[in-house]
Amino acid sequence: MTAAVETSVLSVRDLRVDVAVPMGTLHAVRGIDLELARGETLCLVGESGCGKSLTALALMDLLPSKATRRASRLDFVGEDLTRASRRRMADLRGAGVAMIFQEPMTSLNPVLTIGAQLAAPYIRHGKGNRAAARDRALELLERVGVPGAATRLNQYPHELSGGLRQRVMIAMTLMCQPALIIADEPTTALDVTIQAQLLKLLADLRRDFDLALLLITHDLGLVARFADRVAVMYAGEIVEQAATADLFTKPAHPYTQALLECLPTGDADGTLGTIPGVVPSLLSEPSGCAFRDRCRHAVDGCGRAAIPLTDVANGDGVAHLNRCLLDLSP
Amino acid sequence: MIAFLGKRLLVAVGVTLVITFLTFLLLFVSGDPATALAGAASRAEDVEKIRALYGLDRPILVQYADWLGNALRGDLGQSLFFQLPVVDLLAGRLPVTLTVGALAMGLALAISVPLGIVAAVWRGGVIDRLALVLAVVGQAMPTFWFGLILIVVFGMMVPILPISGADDWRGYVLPVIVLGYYATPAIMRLVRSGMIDALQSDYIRTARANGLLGPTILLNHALRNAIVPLVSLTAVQFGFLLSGSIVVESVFALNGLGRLGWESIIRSDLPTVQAIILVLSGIFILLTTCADILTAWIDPRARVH
Repeated sequence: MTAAVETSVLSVRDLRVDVAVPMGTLHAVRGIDLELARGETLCLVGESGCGKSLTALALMDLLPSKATRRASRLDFVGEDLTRASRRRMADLRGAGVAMIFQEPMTSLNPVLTIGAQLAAPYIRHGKGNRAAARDRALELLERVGVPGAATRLNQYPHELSGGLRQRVMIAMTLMCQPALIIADEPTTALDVTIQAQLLKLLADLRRDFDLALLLITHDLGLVARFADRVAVMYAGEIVEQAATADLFTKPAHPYTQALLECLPTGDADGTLGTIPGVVPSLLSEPSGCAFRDRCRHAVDGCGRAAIPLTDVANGDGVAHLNRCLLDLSP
Repeated sequence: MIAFLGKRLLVAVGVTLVITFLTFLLLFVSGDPATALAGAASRAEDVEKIRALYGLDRPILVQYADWLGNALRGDLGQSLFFQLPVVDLLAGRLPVTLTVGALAMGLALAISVPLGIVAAVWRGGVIDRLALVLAVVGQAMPTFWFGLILIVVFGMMVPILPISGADDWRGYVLPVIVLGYYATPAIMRLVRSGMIDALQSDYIRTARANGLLGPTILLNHALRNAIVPLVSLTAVQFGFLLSGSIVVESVFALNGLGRLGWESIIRSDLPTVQAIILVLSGIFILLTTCADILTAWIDPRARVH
C-alpha cells in the first residue's frame, strides 16, 4: 500500500464539472474518483457525451470558459492542485502532464514547422535552448517511428499524413518527460490499420518512459485491451472499474454488459447488439441509477437513492468496483 | 518556393501586358485621335496628314508595340496640356500621393491590428463594441465628407492644422487621417474574425496544453494564422488608397497624382491619363505580387498552387 502511495501520479476524489448552457446547468461530470500510478494505464471508456473528454480537460485545467471544475481532492505527484493558481497549472501543462488530442489533422499549427512546434514546450518549460530542443525533437521523432525525422523537422503539418501527425503529437507530449499523459481518443480519427500500431506505440512508451497513461476512448474493443485497468463511464459517473481482464470476463454492471454485447464477435450469423433508449439529460442530477431507463434488469429500488460504487471482487488483489444494486455477475 | 515565385512573377508580367494594352486603347475611346488632334473644323486632307505624322495610320498592334517600347524606355509621351514630358510631370506628383498613401496605410494598420486583436480576445467587451461602432462609421462615411468635417474642426474651429496644400509635414496630417480611417474598418474586422477563428482552433488548444502563456499563444500561434488573409487585403487596400486619393487630394488641394488625374480627364489630356493609369496599375500589380509572395512565406499551404 505504501509503495502505491509513493508512485501515485494522479489521485482524484469527487471531480465534478458543471457546464452553463442556455437551459441551465449541465452536470456533465458527477463525482469521479481516479487513481493512477507510474507505469500504469487506465482506460476511461464511455459513449459520446458521457463526460470523459470534459474529465480530461478538467484535469488539464483546459475547460472551456462556460465549464467549471470542483474536486474534493486533486493530487498530482503529491501536489494538491485544487488550490493551484492558473499560472501553476500552465507551468504543469506540457511539463508534468501532457495531452494527445483526437484530431491530428487540426491539432498542429498549420503555419509553424514541426520542429518549431515540438520545441515550443521544451523551451517554454526551460529545459534547454533551441539547439537542445532540436536534438530532443529529433530523438523523439525517431523514437515514435517517424521516418526521415531530420527532414520532418523543417516540414509543415500539411506535408504529413494523419498517422504521422499523431506520432508528432505523441513526440510533443514526451518533450519534457511528463509523469502523466492523457490521450483523448488518440486513434479515433485514424485508419483502423494505424490505430493498433499507435496504441502499441503508446503502450511501449508508457513502459520505457515509466509514464502514467490515461487513455480515453469510446472503443471498448480495441483500446481497452491496452490498459491495465478500465473505468466505464455513463452519464457523468463511473459505473464500473476493474482490471482489464476482469472487466472483460466478469462484467458486473448492466451497462458494461450491454457494451460488451455490442462488440462484433466475428460469428458469421451474429447480429450486432444495441442498447435501446437514450442517455438521460443531465440538466438535473438523476436520482439513483442513471442507466435504469435503458436497463432490462431495472427494479423499483434503482431510482430511489444514489447508488455507491462497491467492491465486488472476491478479495484477490485489484478492486472491482460496481455501481449497481443487483448482483448480475455472470 | 522557387517554382512558386517563378509562376507568380510570370502571372504579374502577363497582367501587366494586358493592362498596358487596355491603357493604350484608351487613346481611341473618344473617337478618332487624328480628328481630335486636328480639331473638329479641319479639312479631311489635314486630318490625314496628322494621321500620317503621328503614325496613326499604322496597324493598331504596331502602334501599341511602338508605344510600349517608348514606355519601357521611360518615354510616356507629351502632356497635351502642359506641353511637358509626362514622365517629368509624374515625377513631381507621385511622391505626394505615395507619401499620403503609405502614411495612411501605416496609420490604418497601427489602429486596426491591435484593435482587432483586443476585440477578438475580449469579444463582446467594451472595446469590441467601440471598435464595431468605429468600423461602421468609418465604412459608412464618405471620405470627402469626413475630410470636410476635419477641415471645419481643425481648420476653422480649432485652427491648428493647414487645410490645403502640403508645404510641410503638417499639411499631410488631415489627409492621412481621412485616408487611414477609410482603410481601417475592413482590416480591423478581418483581424478580429481571423483571431476569433484562430483562438477557437484545435492548435491553440494544443499550445495551451503545452503550457504556453497568453502573449506567446496570441502573437506566435494565433496571429500568424490570422494575418494570412490580412496581407492580401492590405495590398488591395493600399492600391485603393492610391487610386482613391483622387478625392482626398481634391478636398485638401494636394498636388498629387490623383488630383492630376482628375484634372487631366477634364482637360482630355489623354497621354497624362494613360500614364497615371499605367503607374497606378503598375503599383497595384507590384503590391499584389509582393502580397502573394509574403503570404506564401507566412503560410506554407499557399505555396502549393
